[in-house]
Amino acid sequence: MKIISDMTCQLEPDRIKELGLGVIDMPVLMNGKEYPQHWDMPNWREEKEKFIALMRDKNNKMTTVGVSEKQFIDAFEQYRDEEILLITQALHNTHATRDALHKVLDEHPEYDVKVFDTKSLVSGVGVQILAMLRECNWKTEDRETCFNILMRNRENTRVLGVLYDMFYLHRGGRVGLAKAVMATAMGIIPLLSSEPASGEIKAIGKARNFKQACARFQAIITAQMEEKNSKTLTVAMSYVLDHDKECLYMKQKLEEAAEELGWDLYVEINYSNFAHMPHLGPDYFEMGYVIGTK
Amino acid sequence: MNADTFVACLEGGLDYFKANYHTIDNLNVFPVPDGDTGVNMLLTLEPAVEAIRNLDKHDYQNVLSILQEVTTMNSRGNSGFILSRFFSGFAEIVSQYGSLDPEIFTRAFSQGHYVSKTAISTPMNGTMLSVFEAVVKALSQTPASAIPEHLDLAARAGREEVFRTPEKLPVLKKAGVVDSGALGFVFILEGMKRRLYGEEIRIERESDFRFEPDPDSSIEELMTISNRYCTELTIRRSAEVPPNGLEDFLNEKGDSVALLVNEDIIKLHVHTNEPENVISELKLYGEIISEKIEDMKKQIEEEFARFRHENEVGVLAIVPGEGFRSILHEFEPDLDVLVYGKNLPKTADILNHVSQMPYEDVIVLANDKNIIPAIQLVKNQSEKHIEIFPSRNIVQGVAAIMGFVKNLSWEENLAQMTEAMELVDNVSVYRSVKDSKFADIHIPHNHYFAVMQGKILAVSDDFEETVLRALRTARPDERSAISLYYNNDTDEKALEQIRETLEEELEDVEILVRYGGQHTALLLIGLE
Repeated sequence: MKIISDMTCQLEPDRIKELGLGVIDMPVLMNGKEYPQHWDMPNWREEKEKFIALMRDKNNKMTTVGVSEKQFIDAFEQYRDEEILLITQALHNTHATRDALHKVLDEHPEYDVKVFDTKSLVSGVGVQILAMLRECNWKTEDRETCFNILMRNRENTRVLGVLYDMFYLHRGGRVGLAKAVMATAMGIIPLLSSEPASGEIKAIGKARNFKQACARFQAIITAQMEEKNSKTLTVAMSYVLDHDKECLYMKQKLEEAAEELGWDLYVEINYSNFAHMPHLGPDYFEMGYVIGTK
Repeated sequence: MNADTFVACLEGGLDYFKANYHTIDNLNVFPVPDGDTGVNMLLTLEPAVEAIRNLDKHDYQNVLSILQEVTTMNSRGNSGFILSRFFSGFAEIVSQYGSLDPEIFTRAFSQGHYVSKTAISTPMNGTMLSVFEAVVKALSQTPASAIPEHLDLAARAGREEVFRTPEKLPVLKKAGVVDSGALGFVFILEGMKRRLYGEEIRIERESDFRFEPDPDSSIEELMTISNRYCTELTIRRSAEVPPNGLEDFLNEKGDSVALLVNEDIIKLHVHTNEPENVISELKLYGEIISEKIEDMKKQIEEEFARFRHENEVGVLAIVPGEGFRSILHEFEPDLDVLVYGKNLPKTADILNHVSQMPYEDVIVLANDKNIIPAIQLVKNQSEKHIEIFPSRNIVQGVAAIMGFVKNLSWEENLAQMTEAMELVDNVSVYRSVKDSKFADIHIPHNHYFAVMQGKILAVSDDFEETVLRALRTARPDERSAISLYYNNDTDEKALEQIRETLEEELEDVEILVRYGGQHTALLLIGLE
């Protein structure tokens, strides 16, 4: 079996290779033209920071477009003789991506693809892969077992994050959400959340600084762990630029909580991928987590 | 089509409309943006369909007679009136034939259009009348072999015309909406058609019928009305009505005149500033059996207030000092704030404040446990949905506001605000006005003392020392921010010294010093 995900999974190239995953790129446009990027490009960190610098000029309009049929076919063709488990948020993505995937699946029965819709965004995708890998070795387990683990974890996945600049979300069409948290004083940061039940990003309040944000996030996670009577927590965080300091702080808080409350905790921090930047802007950190219920 | 199928169609039309009438209300701007077109049309149609449903046997004579009479007697508002006139005209033709086929359907539709158009003194394009006209045109030009096809065509032609209404009626263009009455009628047709085809009811999206408003328009302009009272009368007629005499009188007294005079009754709808004079005049022709006078100005004001804050929750924060107003507004600019001084606010003050807020759901932050009983009284007296947020002090109140998001439900907000509030501890610093003893601790006169959760943390004759000693016992290095809220009596030099010391000692903690203006404590400290 081969596991394929897409660029939204928020895992770094080395980690993707280490896990042996296949990855489908997601096209990114700048001012209507395709921006040259690839999940495994050399000097990816510098390249991403160059892209972020361009994005800070708000005259440059960065957007994403759907994955094409050809991209799906190219990805599946590499593993034509294997069972493929596609772990993706594509079904929740643009209509074009969804339609392209359905068309390929309908017209190419030669590819043995089972699709798992993560129903989560950003690190909510990657963390579901990581949570599954904590439970089973996909190289030895059968596809159905992996799929069932993913299904069980999906409803216990949530994403929390901080966007320091809501302009990009506003420009991306999430006007109501942006309005709900934009009109506040300088220095006050909005806290965002997304759950698979709705798939929507919603505001959950504000904070004076990232430590307060992390304290809120930790309180939310702790309450959910208690509610689900769980001791197993898998967390994937992503960041851009120097916002890894927020992730490291959050990790430290979670580790303290894990020690105090006896959690079996796994945390991973990765640099964010290109595909999310046009929507989230040049300053953010976010985390996806799965509360284990096995 | 037999009468049973026709009745099923009407039921389908009503059911579809019922599922979507709120959308019609929300789009209502013409002739008066009072947000009741959907309700008025529903109240016009529903009693008739109910009455028909209760018939033992469905034959066209009975069904159509009830449709005519009951919609006429129950018609409400402009749209309801036009709708009732349409059904009346439609029923006239079908009654003549006693059956319904595509040709009769077209004629009946045409008659419905004619009767409704001639019943109102100033028929306007871009309303339900335009939809009738467009449907008649489409039906006349397209021969159909069966009623279902004809209904499908009518629904499609009507829907297309709905999207042309803003071009015909400038006020719609200004407001960025289609005509609500026209759309309401299309929903009825859609439901009739769907019932025939066995299709399910669909919930229509309001956003599909909204577009970018004309930038030159203003809410104030849309809110302007020249005749304030919507007056509807039904008179059991006992005297002759002179030709045009009544209509001329009504046009002189107001606008949006819709008048039906038949052998038995006079049914009238008019917008006027002189409802009493209209009633006096109409009494000359018979006994008034029903009357309705509504203040549209008030309705419009309420509607716009509701529209502006639809799906939003309001928050009233009761705060002990003027400084907290701006502190809270940094987190939520739309927050309502009631400031009190030495004395706690009265129930009447809170009630008055809540009633002026343009929200139906209001969360009231007490910020003092002694204010909660007054808010409870307000909750009992107010018609609004009020939730008491039991913050025990203003420091908890500030923290709670960090969890508030105005477009979430009140349930979600209460949960988030509680979550946010639980992340803060607070210390209050006072100066004793006499020798006193608290638990086992002696507090001499003019000494400072710091309290946290009912426990004295420090007592000293030096303000700075009291504050720092207290804070050092409260795990300050584990905090993300420490907020110091001072009042008019706080020693500002000492406060500055406290800030510098804390910044030196707590490198990673944000220290904020803000004027709160509270009456009692010299310093309120939030440990966040």
